[in-house]
Amino acid sequence: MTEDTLADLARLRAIAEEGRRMPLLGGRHLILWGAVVALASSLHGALVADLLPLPMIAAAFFWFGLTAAAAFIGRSLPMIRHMRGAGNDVGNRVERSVWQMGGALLWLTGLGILAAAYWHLHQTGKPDLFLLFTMMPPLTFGVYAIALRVSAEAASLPQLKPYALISLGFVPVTLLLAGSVWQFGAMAVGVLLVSVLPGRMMLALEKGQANG
Amino acid sequence: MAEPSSLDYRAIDDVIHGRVRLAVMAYLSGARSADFGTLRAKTGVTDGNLSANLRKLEDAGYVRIDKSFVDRRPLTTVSLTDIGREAWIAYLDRMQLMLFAGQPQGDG
Repeated sequence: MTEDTLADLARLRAIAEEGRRMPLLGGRHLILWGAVVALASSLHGALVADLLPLPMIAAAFFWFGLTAAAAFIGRSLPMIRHMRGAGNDVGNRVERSVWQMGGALLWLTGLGILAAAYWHLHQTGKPDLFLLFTMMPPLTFGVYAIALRVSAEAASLPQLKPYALISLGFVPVTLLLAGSVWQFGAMAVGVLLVSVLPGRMMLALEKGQANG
Repeated sequence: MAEPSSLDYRAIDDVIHGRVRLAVMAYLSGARSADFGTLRAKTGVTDGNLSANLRKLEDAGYVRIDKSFVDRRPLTTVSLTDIGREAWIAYLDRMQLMLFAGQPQGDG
């Protein structure tokens, strides 16, 4: 009976821990990915503007190379886990899931467009499908907006909500600039705004709660 | 000050240990917040009894009670505070410690 009671108590404790308001631990990843996307977008823009003496295929290497590097570096970023249960609460689990799925969506879409565009080029000799890449910036900002809003709600962190709105604002901006080199600049600036700034805030909150 | 032994009953949080308050805390630790009617239905106590117990929890800072109107009808919402959640976890740890201390030593 006592063993059952102990198991019940442990289960009750796990439920109580899940509801704890823990700091979101994704701040460092937000900064890393924001910097990487901004850098890749800037390099891509420089390539399109003929500022870099490289063939256009270099853009694919910028994007896939830099994001693969970010994924690798992201795994080794140090975490503050002074608090018991940190990272296992609902807020952090939801935040991790929404960013992982959002990131996978963007990566697969980019890869799919690249494959389709080259296949189309090979079949018809026309590069028109490469235009689909102009949809990547608005799609990225859409993913950021959803992920930031969901994280704000799940972790009771309303400070993230304005960044979700800013991100949403960059969807029409980058659509209006589609096809021009300015789209890359807008993407770089926008991503820095909606990732590095909230990421720094989240890191500060995390350190504050760990020390407090 | 000496640490209380694992069987020291005085280390049990009296505010939580009442039967109704225990039920309320257990429910709120999962649900985070609930309206008065839901808590009454879950605990099966009278309005007066529930009110008195909620007041004790509120005085200890374990729950927050918000009163509002929805469709011109009063709505009382009870939410577990961060202090309440930590107190609840500490209470569970204390109970676990007591039960574990009461078990005979195994042969391992």
